[in-house]
Amino acid sequence: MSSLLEMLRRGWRGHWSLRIGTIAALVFLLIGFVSFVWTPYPIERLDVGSAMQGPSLAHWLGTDHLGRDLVSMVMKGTRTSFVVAAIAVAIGALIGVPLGLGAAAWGGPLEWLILRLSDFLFAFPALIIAIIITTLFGPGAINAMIAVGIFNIPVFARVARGGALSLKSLDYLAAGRLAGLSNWEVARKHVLPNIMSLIIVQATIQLALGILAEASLSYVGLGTQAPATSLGLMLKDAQTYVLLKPSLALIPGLTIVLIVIALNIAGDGLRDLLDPRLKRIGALRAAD
Amino acid sequence: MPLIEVNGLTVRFGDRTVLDGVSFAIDKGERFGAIGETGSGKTMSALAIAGLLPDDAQVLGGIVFDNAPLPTVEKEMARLRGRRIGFVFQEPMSALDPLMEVGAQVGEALVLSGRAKDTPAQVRQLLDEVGLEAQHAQRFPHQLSGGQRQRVMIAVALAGEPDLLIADEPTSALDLITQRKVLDLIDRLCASRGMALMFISHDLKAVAALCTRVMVIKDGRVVEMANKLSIFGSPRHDYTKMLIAAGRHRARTLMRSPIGPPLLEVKNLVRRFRQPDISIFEPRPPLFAVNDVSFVLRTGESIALVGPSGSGKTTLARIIAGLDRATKGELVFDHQTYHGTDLPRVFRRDISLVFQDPFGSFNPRLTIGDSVAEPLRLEPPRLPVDIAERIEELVTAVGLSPDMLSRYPHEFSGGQRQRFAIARALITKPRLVVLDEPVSALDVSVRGEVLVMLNRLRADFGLTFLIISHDLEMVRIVADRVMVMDKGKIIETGTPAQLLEAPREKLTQDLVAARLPEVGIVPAS
Amino acid sequence: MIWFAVRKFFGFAVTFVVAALVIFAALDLLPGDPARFILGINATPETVAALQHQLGLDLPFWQRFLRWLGGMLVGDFGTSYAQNQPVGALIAGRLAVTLPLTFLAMVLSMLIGLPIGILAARRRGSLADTGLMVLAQFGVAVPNFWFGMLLVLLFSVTLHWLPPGGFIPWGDNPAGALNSLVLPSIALALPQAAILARVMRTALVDVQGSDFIRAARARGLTMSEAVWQHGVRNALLPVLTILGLQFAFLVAGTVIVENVFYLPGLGRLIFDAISARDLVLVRGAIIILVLAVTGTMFLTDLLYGWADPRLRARDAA
Repeated sequence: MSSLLEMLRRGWRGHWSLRIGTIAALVFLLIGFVSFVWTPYPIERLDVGSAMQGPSLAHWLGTDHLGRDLVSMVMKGTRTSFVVAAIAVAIGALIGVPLGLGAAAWGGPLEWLILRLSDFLFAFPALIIAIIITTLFGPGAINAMIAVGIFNIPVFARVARGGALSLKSLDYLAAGRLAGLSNWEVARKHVLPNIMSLIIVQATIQLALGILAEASLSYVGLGTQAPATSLGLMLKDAQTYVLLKPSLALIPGLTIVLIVIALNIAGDGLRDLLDPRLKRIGALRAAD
Repeated sequence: MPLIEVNGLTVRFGDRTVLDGVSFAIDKGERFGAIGETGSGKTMSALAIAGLLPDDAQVLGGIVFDNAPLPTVEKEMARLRGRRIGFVFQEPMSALDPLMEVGAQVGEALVLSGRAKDTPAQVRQLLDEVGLEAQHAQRFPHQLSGGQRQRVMIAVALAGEPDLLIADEPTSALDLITQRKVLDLIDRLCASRGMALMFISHDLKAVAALCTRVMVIKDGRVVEMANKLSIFGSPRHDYTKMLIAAGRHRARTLMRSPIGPPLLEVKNLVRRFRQPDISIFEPRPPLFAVNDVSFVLRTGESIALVGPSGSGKTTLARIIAGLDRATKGELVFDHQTYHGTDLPRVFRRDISLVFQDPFGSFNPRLTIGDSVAEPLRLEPPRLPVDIAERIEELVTAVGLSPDMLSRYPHEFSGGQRQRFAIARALITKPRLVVLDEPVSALDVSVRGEVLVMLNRLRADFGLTFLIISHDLEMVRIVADRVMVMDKGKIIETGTPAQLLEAPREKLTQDLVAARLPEVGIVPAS
Repeated sequence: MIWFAVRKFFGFAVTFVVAALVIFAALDLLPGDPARFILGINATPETVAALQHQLGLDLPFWQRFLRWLGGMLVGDFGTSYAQNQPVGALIAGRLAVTLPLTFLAMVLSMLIGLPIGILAARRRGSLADTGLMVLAQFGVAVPNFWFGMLLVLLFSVTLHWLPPGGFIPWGDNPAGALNSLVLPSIALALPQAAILARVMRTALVDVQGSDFIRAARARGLTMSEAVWQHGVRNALLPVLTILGLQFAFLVAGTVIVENVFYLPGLGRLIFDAISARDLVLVRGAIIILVLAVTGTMFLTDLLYGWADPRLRARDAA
């Protein structure tokens, strides 16, 4: 692990894309999380008298059809989007990575079962899972987390299994077993640290996808519900009024685009930095 | 008049110089060899001649082919390659388009060279010339063996009837017998077609067998260039001398401890692998990787297990070390019966394994010290001081310094890593050490040192060795007894001298015949 | 190849049946009795029991599941109690919008994405490459439904080139129907095209650095000839995998984008059915979505096996 951190520290200087992406993503994260303690206006208070205002000193981005301050809405919405996407990533990684590692470590029937399970989950895009959950339990932000989270499971399982298989022929795994480590200990001590970079890169990608998915689900009414808000829910509300005031759709939409771009750029930068395959091509070229 | 003339060739990638003012010339029909270790730049010089350097290479200096400078336009250069330069690459698997039948790839080369008249017939003839059958034309690369693929590559290279054949380590990915066959094929083709040859290798014996003039290259510079006899007979540069000395494997066994009672008995061992069926109606028979193998290894003895790839020797080693489980039969180690993975934990410290690939056998995220100490968990807990002492003792014994232990694997060369791997294998003071091709992944120049060290360690620590190898020369240095393995069975046993002088089985005879003559005593040609 | 196809079909069939079982079981958990729903609160227990028997609702779980599954094979998806119409007919009517939209978007995304990816890889490091990849970065980040809103604002509200929404049935006016699918399919296709372009570029850049391209050049091809004759085919293999997955995203995306353009497609049907708690209809619509996704993955597998001789062999060996 220490060398992973060291690599990140060294790469930080050279990779402008990693720097810009990470800083931008952190800025949005900060904006979202400040809303836990403070927003310019409480978004629960409706003030129809000041509805549909343009930008002003009091309301930097104006107000929506219910008179809610758009800056406050975007802050809270960003927070919801991040929380939903992050929990979905956590669900996917915490279940998917052990499944993938287990499949690679034990092989045989267990691997077959896990692969079939992951094939099976791939047949259910997050939308379908969300539809089922909503039909069963009604709509809500938790739906979105679970739906996207379930969708993330096979993604992480495949990344972990693929990474582990690419290491499987390497003798240090066999050396670990000779030293008396169990399958599980080998996976934890020798495999996991070496596929951590793959998992981190995948996590940034899934985080970005999760934010998009949350937006879609909330937009069609399967995700976050009022009085809470999310960027997708803002777009759903904007649909009715977009002709009157296009900025209602533009502001949350652009926020989504910028967050996702920031995360993707950071992810690409990380991949360039950590993916041994890309580095090896560079090294081979100069080797001989 | 030279066919190709390279003048002051310098190749850089960014601020890294991989070739530095290299000059040489190859005459028409000449056999020219380039010797150097991994990373010396020998491949880059060949790629430069063929105009195949990566795009980001900065190239200085001139290359003249048949009195004309190499064309700078890619189209003309490509046609020149197609008609006049044949290129055989190191990795025959990755050098063929995996989605195309190999016959079509040979045909493509024919068409490009403008020599295609009756392509299918010409393809058949080319395949025949390199020792393949007509039916191989319809195969995809993955359906051929390594040697067959390399033959296809040679057929592709010959299609344009080139004046110059560049062969870049064409045999290093192949097993010993196939290596020799491919070398003989190149030799014969150059003679029959009068092609000039640029042969690139780190294997001195192969260069000596094929070439008449030799260039030794180190760190991007030519250190010595002369005809074969003077290079190998009276090398002038220290580096050349070192290479030749290292290639000779003249290490003799030191004092050895007396051979004692049986330590390991292998009794009728069978390892069967289930092969997935083609369909439910076409079941495939199981593969017997190890098929009824029995032998006894005595304390203090060193036995070598020799055989071609796929003969089952690595499977056998993994079962003995406890990484795999026998399907039938049993092993007895010091009165303890086991079948592989069920080797009791208390005995695990007594049997250790040294892996072939020094690059893959260390976790890149652990320090070398942590990796070397890993097997100590098999012993009762000790004081950290004792552990440090033990590690220090072994690291010193393998000729390295204890202050290297806090570094990471990528900071070491292949030879150094293999020494650490041996230290790791010895850290629990095992009684039996299984060595799986311990030097075949190393550069020739360090192989000798490692072998000498192994012999010394065996004497110092009173070890018993089971060594897996395909290299008879090496076996002669380190083994008391040799077992030849083929298709899962041990077909012949004897002392190294017996096998080398009077091999009985066909496979043993082939192995012995595949050896190339020693360098330094090259017969005048 | 035949055995390869048979095995893949078997896998597809198993996945589909298990998926159907999961969906059936999940929706079966819900409280609420269709018979009581149909008859109203005032029905006597006897009439409810009679209707339950008539609808097969008193059968054990397994039998009901098998009846439903068997019915689907002959196109019988059950009857919507809320609308009192066969589910199959309801879905078929909506598929007339959803299917053409999905295919249009798929084709469009390939036509845009693949050439861009190839161009960027061939000119790696150039200004064109950087520009296209910055564009692709945006494309990947844009939610398709929001992009749809922007398209409506620009092409319908401002420029008046295309209808802002709604759908003219194919029977009334095929050209008009197609016209109303133009903006939705662009909204769906562009983000997918951006992903395809990125995958295509990465795959081709990888292939361009491979040994067999160098070997192809060594036998007399120029770099671009080698890339076109050997590289692109090899680079398309990873793209094919992505295409299968993309179809799943497209199906989901279609369901969402229909909302922007007020298209009477499968999406609207599902959301209306959820609000009306019309479970039979929800179940039928979901299973159609799952069938589309698993079916496409099966076809992708076949295509992959056909394109890559190694895969056929590995699967047989």
